[in-house]
Amino acid sequence: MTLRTLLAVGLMATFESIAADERALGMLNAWIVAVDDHVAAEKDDALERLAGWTHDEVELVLPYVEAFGEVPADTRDRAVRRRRITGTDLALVRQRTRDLQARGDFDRFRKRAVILHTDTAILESSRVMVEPPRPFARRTRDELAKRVDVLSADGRVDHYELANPHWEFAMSLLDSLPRNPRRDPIVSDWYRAIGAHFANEGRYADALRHFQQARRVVSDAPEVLFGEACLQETLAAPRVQDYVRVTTLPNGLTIQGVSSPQTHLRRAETLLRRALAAEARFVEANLRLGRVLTQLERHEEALNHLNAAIRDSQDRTITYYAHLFSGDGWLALSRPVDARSSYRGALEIYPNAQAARLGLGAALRTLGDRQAAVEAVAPALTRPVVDRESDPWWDYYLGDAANIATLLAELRAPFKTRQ
Amino acid sequence: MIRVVLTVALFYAPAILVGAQPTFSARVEGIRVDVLVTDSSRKPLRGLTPADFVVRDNGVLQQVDIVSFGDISLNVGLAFDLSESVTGARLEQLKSASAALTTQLQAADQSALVTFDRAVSLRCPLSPQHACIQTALSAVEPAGETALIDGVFAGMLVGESDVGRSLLMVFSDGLDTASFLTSSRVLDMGRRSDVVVYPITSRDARPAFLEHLADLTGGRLHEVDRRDDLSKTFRAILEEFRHRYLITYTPRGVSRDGWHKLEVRVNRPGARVKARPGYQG
Repeated sequence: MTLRTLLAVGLMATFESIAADERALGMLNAWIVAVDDHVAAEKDDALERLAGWTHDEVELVLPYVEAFGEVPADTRDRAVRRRRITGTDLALVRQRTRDLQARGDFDRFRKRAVILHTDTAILESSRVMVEPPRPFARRTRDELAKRVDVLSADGRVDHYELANPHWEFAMSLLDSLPRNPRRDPIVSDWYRAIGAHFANEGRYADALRHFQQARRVVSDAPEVLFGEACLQETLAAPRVQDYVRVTTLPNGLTIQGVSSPQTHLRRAETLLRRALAAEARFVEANLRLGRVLTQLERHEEALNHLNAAIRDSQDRTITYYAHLFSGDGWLALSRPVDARSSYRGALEIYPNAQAARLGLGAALRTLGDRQAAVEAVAPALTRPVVDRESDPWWDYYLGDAANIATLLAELRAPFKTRQ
Repeated sequence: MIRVVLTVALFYAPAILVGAQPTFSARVEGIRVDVLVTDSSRKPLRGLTPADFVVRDNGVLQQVDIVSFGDISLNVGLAFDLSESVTGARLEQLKSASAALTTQLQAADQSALVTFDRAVSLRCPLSPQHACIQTALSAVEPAGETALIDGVFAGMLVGESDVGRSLLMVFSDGLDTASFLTSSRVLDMGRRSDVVVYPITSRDARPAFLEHLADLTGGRLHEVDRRDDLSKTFRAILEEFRHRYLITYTPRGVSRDGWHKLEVRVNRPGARVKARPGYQG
């Protein structure tokens, strides 16, 4: 009885395996056509074809694409995936690779593929909502391979969804590009732009995975280091910390990747120092480092960096921030008179900025001048206009995402036509 | 905490200093403490005099000069979360509760409304025009993030912008996601202010900041859920605040600066006292 059952399962598995492989090879061929057909930033037929694949189909074809693109199987996940391809299929895939290499534009093809998957992830909402994972139930291999993200709105759980697999394609294909004599610039440009995209969307789970990979691939690119530092600063902020503190998930589940504020701030400090070591005149890195150190209560050190940002900045928003955060530093050092000057400096740049007016109110209140505090704050409380032009503070946690449109446009620019 | 010049009755101190001749005498400053005294069944205990209160400032026994009860007008500030999480039935409850509250206010009382989403808005400045609150709330459309800490700070500033006893009722059923000011900055203001803060929050949010601020200012945190009658909660808070004592003393035997630990007791069996734990000198 037992033996028969085992045999039956084995036979079924074999049949399923053959069927799946044929399907995967067919999908690989369709994928190659789609890569050639796609025009960057367009929701064209090529993109729609990929977007129409189910989550399981996408996972099925991923190892075939990686093998086709000659992605090194240098991580555990990739090695496991690669082993799913039979020897016969692997030979067929490699033949397809040689055919395309004969065209003479294999690197460009792989970059086009990166853009296709990037556009599919961004432009098509292929969101797969799922039940919360079952922590104590036995899970299959496929379930274990899928990352489940929790989405929240204003501090409340909204739904659970599977991580978008198209990012995995893009990262794998970037990894396949030649590393010598140096990495193609698209690699650091992509990690910067997509990091900014995740920040813009508040997709911190994706962003953590993204920068984890970036550290492995482009460990010394100042703009990418800066992007991750912005993420770490955001993870330390009350908006994330409070959410994690009060969120009740089903028994046994925890939100991953969020540590104490001090841990995230120290990580941000390290990343910003590395960015500054790579590019000493990186003004915004100096600004962020100043604010991070303020939050770590190393105020005098913080003020040095903020002063450097004020001295070197050609950008009124960065100068505004530097004055604003200097005010915080001075207040923390019990020097409300200096804090008052700093907040007033910020208000000279953005006269209606609510953050600077609240800061000025706090400084004046510490000085014991209640009436002046009320008068300082009042103008910002009457019909405040919430936009970047009245107070850039609203956008501070966007970090590099404030430049998202430009970054994505630059990334897509070389791929605006069909192959 | 409030510092007043003792030579005048409580709150109008600065005016008396304005005269033809400059005054060079040392300022003698008084401390004002808002105190809730209840009996064993949690009902306000009435009829207490200065002799009933025992006040220690940094452990040093003080002489209570003045005690007043229910005879000083109130500044009632409302700081409401109007972010995306406060919509539908919750918003309607908030409007009804505000209407119920304003009907309980007296002619000499003043009220103000501050709302916060991503930004903070002063919808109704402190004034006896209580109808302003209903009018303002009828036009709101909750949206966006929650600048809770900034909203509380603005509410406290507005509350102490005029003479009178100041109550700030903060309603929020979300977490802070957008403030510029830090909780420690606003808690520091709580140590320097005489505004008493009563937060009303949903059970699942319960920001530690609001709990701490309520303790620091001598107020009390109220937790509600969507089935609770918000009007009843609002009225109960106002009623409790109206039945608090305001005691005043001139600090003696303690240095002026730094944090002053306060102990307030009442010499009556079963009396329970709730007051701020100290003040910043």
